[in-house]
Amino acid sequence: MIKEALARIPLQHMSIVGLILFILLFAGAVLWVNRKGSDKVYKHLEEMPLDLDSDATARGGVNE
Amino acid sequence: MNNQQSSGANTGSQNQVESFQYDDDIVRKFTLATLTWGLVAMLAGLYIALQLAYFKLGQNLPWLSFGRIRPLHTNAAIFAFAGNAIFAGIYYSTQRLLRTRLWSDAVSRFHFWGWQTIIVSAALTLPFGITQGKEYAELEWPIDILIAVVWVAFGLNLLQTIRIRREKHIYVAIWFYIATFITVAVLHIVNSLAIPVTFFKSYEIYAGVTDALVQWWYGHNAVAFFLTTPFLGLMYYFIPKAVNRPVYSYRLSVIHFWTLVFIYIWAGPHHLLNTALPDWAQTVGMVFSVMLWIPSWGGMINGILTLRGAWDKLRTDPPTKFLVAATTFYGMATFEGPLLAIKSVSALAHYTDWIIAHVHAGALGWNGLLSFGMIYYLVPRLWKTKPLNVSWMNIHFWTATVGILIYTISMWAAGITQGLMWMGMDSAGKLLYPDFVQTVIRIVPLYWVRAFGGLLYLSGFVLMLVNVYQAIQTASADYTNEVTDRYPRFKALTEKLFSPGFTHERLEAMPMVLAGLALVGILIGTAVEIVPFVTANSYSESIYQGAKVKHYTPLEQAGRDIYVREGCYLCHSQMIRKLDFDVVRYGPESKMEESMWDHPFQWGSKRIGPDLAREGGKFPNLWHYRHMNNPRDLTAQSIMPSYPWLLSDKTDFEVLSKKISVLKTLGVPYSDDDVSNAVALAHAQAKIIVDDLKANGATMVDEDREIVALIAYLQLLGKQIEAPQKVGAR
Ligand code: HEC
Repeated sequence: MIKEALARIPLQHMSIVGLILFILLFAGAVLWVNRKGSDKVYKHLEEMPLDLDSDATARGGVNE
Repeated sequence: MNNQQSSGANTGSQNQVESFQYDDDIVRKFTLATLTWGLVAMLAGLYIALQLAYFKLGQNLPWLSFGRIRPLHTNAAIFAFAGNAIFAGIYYSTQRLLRTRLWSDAVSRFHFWGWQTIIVSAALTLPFGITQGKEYAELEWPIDILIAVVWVAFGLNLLQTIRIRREKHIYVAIWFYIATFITVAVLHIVNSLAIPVTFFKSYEIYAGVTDALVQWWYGHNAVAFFLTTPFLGLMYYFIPKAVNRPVYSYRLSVIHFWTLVFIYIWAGPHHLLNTALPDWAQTVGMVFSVMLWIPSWGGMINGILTLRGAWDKLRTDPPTKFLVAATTFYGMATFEGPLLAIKSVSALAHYTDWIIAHVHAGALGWNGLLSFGMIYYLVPRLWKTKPLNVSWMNIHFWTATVGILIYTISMWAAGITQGLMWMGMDSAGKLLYPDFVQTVIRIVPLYWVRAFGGLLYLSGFVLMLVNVYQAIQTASADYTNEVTDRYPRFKALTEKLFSPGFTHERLEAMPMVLAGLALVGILIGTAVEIVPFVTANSYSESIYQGAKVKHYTPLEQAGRDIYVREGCYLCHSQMIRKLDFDVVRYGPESKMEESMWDHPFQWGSKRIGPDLAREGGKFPNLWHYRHMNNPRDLTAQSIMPSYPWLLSDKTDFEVLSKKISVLKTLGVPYSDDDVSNAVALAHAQAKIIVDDLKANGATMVDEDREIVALIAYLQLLGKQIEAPQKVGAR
């Protein structure tokens, strides 16, 4: 059964199938990141690496 | 210096503010390991680069021969240098992004020491030829098991740390880390499946074309998920940190993540273009590689534009300089990659030094410079030191950059020159350079230039070691007092999960769902490419169309194991592509079925020497005998290493029954008699070869010498199928 099913997969079309999957994923991702209310979340997220006071330990290091 | 900090950043939550300490000791450990193994990796690389320029280097010493040290170099660079750098960066950033200490100190330590044990085991086995013969997956089964265990410990630590986090939202860097953990686990386990013969020897469960596909699905995605996704995570953390600005576009980073994870996994077959791999799989590999250009550049642009309005940092702040240059090299390498994955470009570039240029733009430029930038950023913080020496960092930056440029340009030149020479045919269809060694001599000067580029890069690195060493001497006495942070406890996770309604916070707060989605993303590509080959035996029977293909006699198998042990596959391919100039030079294109009993496959990825797929019968036994002893006796200008030990060392005959029986288990059609008589069969065949050698004037050859087994193997190559084969030009 499985063997037969596998033998029937039209492998030569896999590039197109994959391409379509990719376009769907891409479109989905674009819609997702622009969803309502995402501004607030992303604002919070993008500042995450920055506002860490603990890093002040190294103030006076070479980068500051 | 006071290390007690209060954050007090109570973001309006009603939850209790807690104090906790980061585990920076583990980050320091991984940082030092990165620097140590970086030196080893680069020294090994310089050594083999010099061997190609000057074959006498390390001559006659088995454990220093090219085929054994090259895997040591690649493993050290990827798993020891880059690996430790990843762990240092992941552990540093994860704790801070999630506002929590790592889940378990014990597991972190197990991870660290386990990983170093793996590296040391690799360094102790590879030079002795203990290898599975698959690139970047050479390590034998006991080490493979250890890798799996340690990797799972790392993943457990990561996921548990995410579970106990205080910050609800998960920053994009951590998404990249999660994808890294999951995918590498899948890749490593699937590609390493093997049946042991002894403690130091096993046979891959896959054979021939299946093995080739699994190997390059692994190999390419090791690049993707060991050398790319974790480093992208580090980029998304350390560039904003270094320039104190948020990433250019957080939205873009999310799209970057999902598209990259989804596409990368399909691209593996671009390592097998124009080969005997079925066309549909080659096309998939090519199409997806070209598509890969989109997310790669999205990510690069996102990283670099993070500097908007702070470009002066490029001049004033050395760590930033390294991080941004690294990202630029990432952009260059990911532009070149899709180009090389186009079939017609691959026809020229594959098997040549162009590929070597490509991988070093990635390894030295992207992984190397990013690790250096990160470590320069971390050292003063981790050890609470005086600032590092800025002019030394700048010198390091320029020696590294110029070193990479010299390296890549010389290898582009070598690759394109040699590729064109291989292709060169006159109007009558005769090769312009029929003698392979002609095409080698032409590029040897460039091997010197490359070694010089590598030396520059290495000297910059040594300067870094001194700089870091001196800085650490100034470490403040209390540097081991761990950094304390305060943050409200995060209880919302479980509440959110069970709260009514589906909100975006819920999805982004659910790492397990995310991990699951990422897994699905990589499994789609995997399923499409691998499943048709691996699942049904009958399918492979049908692709092989019931071909009658000879399997190896016990002696030939013994010879093949020597071929694998010596790493001949690192200089010789066994795959004549479906290209005129390959066929004219080497004989009819390789058929899939010819390697159907090959555990592991040995198609190779580089031609420092000629293809050997149809070597059988091309030269008499004595030729090989003398050539292996000293190639220069037969090909005056050869750069192939000498293998005199093959003439004196003895083949292990006793283990042959065991080997044949394991191969029989794996489906090679040996009879029970073959298994029980393996030793006798091998001796009988060896006697025929020895008699022939003696008749032609060789003295002092015994049946049990390794050279005899190797000759048996070489003489079979191309003779697996009964039909007579036209022998190509030399
Ligand atoms: C550093 C790269 C390198 C390694 C490693 C290497 N070779 Fe070679 N080999 C060459 C080069 C270059 C040539 C072409 C010059 C010559 O004939 O010696 C060559 C030629 C050959 C030839 C002659 C092919 C022909 O048709 O002209 C054989 C056979 C061969 N090698 C076998 C081996 C075997 C077996 C091993 C492993 C034990 C090995 N080589 C390892 C580089 C290498």
